[in-house]
Amino acid sequence: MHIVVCVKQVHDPEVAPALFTINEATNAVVSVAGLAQVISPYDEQAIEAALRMKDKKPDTKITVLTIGAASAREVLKHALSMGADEAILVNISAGVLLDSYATAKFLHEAVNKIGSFDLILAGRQSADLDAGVVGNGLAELLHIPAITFAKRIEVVESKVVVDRVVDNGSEKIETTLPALITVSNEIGAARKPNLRETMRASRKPTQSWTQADLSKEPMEATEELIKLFIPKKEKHCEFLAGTSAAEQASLLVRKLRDARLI
Amino acid sequence: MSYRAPVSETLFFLDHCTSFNAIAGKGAQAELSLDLVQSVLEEAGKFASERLAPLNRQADQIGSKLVDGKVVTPPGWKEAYQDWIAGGWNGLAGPVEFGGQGLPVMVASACFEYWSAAAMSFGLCPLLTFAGVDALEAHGSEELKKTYLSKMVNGEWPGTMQLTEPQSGSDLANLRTKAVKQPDGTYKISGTKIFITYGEHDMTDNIVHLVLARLPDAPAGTKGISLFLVPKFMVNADGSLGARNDVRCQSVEHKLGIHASPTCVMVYGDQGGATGYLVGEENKGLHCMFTMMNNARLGVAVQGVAIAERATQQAVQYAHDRKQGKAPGAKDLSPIAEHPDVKRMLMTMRALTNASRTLCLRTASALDRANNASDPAEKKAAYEEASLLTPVAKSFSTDAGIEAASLGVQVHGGMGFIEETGAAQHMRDARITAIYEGTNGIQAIDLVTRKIGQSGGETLKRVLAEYRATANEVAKSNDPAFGKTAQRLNETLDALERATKYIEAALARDQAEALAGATPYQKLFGLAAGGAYLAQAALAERIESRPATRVAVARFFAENLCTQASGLEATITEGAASTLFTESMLVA
Repeated sequence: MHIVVCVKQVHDPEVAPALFTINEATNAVVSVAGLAQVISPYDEQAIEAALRMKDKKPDTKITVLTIGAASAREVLKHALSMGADEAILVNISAGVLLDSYATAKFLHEAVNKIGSFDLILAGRQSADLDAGVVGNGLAELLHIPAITFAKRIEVVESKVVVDRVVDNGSEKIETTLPALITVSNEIGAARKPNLRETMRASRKPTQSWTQADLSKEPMEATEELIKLFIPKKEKHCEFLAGTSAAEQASLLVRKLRDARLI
Repeated sequence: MSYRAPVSETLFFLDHCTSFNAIAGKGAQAELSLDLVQSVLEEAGKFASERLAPLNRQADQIGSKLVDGKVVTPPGWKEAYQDWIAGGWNGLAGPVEFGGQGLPVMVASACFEYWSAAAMSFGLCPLLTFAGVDALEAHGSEELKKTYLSKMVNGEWPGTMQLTEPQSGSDLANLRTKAVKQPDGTYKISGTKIFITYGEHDMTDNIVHLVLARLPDAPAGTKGISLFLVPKFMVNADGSLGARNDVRCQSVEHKLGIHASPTCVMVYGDQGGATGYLVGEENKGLHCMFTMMNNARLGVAVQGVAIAERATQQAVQYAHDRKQGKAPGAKDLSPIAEHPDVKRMLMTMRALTNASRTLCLRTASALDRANNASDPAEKKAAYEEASLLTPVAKSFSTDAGIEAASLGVQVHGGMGFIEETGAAQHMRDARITAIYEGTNGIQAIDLVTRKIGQSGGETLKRVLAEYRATANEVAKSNDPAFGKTAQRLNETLDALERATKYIEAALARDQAEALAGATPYQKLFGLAAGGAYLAQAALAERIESRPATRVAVARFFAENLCTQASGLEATITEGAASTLFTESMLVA
C-alpha cells in the first residue's frame, strides 16, 4: 500500500503571541529571531495514522508531501525521522501566499506526478489558518472519496473503514480505495522520533520539485488577503447584581450560557 | 513557560567556528554531516521541549523522596526516563561497539544543553551515566565491559559517581571507604558516601555505582585510591538480575534546587560488605576518576549554558508581554522589553548565554579533534587545548547560568520572587553548578597551576594568538555595526597577557599570591574567550549576509562585559596582598 501524507509548515502555535508581530505592508507574520517553524500538529497526527497502518502492514510505503519555501524541508525531515519512507518538497519562494484552492491545485499536480497511491492523509486543518478546506479540495480535484475528521482508520483489503468524529460522538464510514482522509486530533498523540530513525532519515530519498516540474499553468491564489492582524485583548469587569450568592451564581451561569462559553 | 531548543544557533556555531567540518565525513565520523546533525538536534530539542519541559515545575515542587527505604522520583519521571531510553538518546555519543551512535562530543554537548534546559534534574542522571561509560570503556576489564557497558550505553542501567565522603570533599586524600580483596577476585566494599546524585531511584531495574575506595594496605593520600564497580543488583552469568547487593540509600538530602534529582547518602557494608569489581588497577583510581570527572565537568558547564538559555527565553517572553510605563519616546504603555534598563538585562542574559555556549562547544570541539586525530602531535595539542578550556568553560558557563537566572528573576520584578512564575526555580537550580564536579575555585587553581603552563605555555600561546587574530579580523572588517568590538577585545587580551605574566611570576615566587588572584584570572580568561568566539560567529554571519543578530551580541559582549577586564587585571595583579593580609581578620 502507498500512503501519501500532505503536511504543512507553520509558525509554532505553542509560542506566545507576544513574540509575534504582523508586518502590515506584506501581511506577513514576523517572529522574534530564532523561533523555529514546526509541522502543523494535525498533519503530524496524520503521519502517525499512516505509521500505525505501516506498523500493521510493514510493506506499506509512506510518502510525505509539502509545499513551501526551502525551510519546509525541516518538516519533511521530521516526518522521515518519525518513520516515513520518502519525502517531496514542492519548492515555492518564501513569502508567496497560497490560498486553499491554489494549495489543493498544487497538491493535485504533485500527486499526479507521484503516480499511483492508495490513500492520501492530511490533518483536519492547518494550525495557522484553520480553513480545513485543502483536503476536500484535493479529493475533489482527484475525483476520489473524502472522509474528514478521522479518529480511527482501518484498511480492509480494498476498502477503508473510518471512525469519524461528529458532534456528541462518532460515526463509522466505509469507502473504496483510493481515498482521502483528514485526520483529527482524537487519533492520539504522534510518536516521538527516536535517535536511530532520525539518523537513518538523512539517508532516505527526498525530492525537491518546482512549479515548472508540475504544470505550466500559473497556480496563484484567487483570494486576496486584505488584512492580517492580532486581535486586541480587551478586558471588561462586570459586577453581578443579586442579593445572595445563589442568585449571583445563577446569573453568572446565564451570562456564560449567553456568551456560549458553557 | 515553554522552552524551545536554540537549534539554529548551535548549528551555526558548529558549522562556522568549530572542528565539525574538519572531522565530518572522515574515519569514525564518515556518516556525519551537518544535515544529519540538524535532524538530531531538532528531535533532541523536541524531546526536551515536549517531553521533559512540562514536567520540570511539578518535579521541583514534589521532589524525589525516600519512602520505606526506597527513593521515589516525582510523577512522570520514570515514564519520561523510559521514553528517553526507548528513543535511544542515552546512546548518542556512546561507543558504537556497545550499541551507541558514536556521535561527536560537540553534538552530545549540544543535545545535553537542550535536555538540561528543559529539566536540569532529569539531565543529571544521564550525565553521570555518560561519565561512567567513559571510565568503564577506558579502564574496565573486558568482562566488566561485556556485562555492563551495553546496558549503561542504552541507559537501562544508569551509572553513578561516588567520590565524596563526609570528611573528604574536594580533597580526596582523606577518603575512608574500605575495599578488601576476596579469594574470588572481587572486593568487599564498606563505608559511607554522601552527595550521590541518583544514588538510588525507581526509574530502572538496576544501577551501576562507580565507587572510590581504599585497600587496607594502600599508600596514604590520593595515591592509595582505587575505583570499583558496584551493581545495585548482582548480575547472573546469563545477564539476568540476581541478589540485592549490600548497598542502600540511607537518606535523601533537602536542597536549595534540583529537587527532583535524588542526592543520596549511600551506605555500603551493613551485611559485611558490598561486592565490587576493580576498574583499572589497584591504587590507580584517581586516574580513572579523572576520566569521569573531565567529561562531567564539561557536562556541568553545559548545564550552566542550559539554565542561562532557559532563564533568558522566559525573561524575553515576559518582557514582551508585560506592559509598564512608557519607554523613552513611546506614546502608549510599553512592553518592559523596550525600557533601556530591561534591555540591558536581557542583552546581558543573551550575551552571557551565547558566550558560554561557544566556550563549551569549542571545548567539545577540541576533544573531538583529539579523539579523531591520527597524528600524535596534533592529538596532544588538541587534548591540551580541551584541558586548558575545560576549567574556563566550567566556571564561566556556570557563573553565567547563575547570573542569567538571577537577572531573569529581576526582569520579572515582584513576580520573579513568586515561585509560580518559574523564574525562581532556575535561580535555585543553577546555584549548584558552580559547586559540584570541582568548585569554580578548584577550577581556577587547576587553570593557573596546571593548565596555563602545559607544554611550556605553548598551548596557551596558541589559543591567545587565535583570539588576537579574531580581534584583528574584526578591526579589518571596518564594519560600523561592530562599534568598538575590536578595541575592547584587544584591551581584554592585553589585560589577560599581562595578568598571565604576573601569575607565572607569582607562581615561581609565592604560590599563595597567584592563587589569591586565580578566580579573577579565570573570569578574565572567560571574557577574552567568550568575546573572541562570539566575534568569530559574528564574522561568519557577515560573510553569509544574514541579519546581524550575532554581530549585535558580539558587540554588546565586548562593549558591556569585556570592559570588566581592566578591573579584573588590577584585582589579579594588585589584590593579593590585601586578600592574604585579611585572612586572619575573617575568623569571627
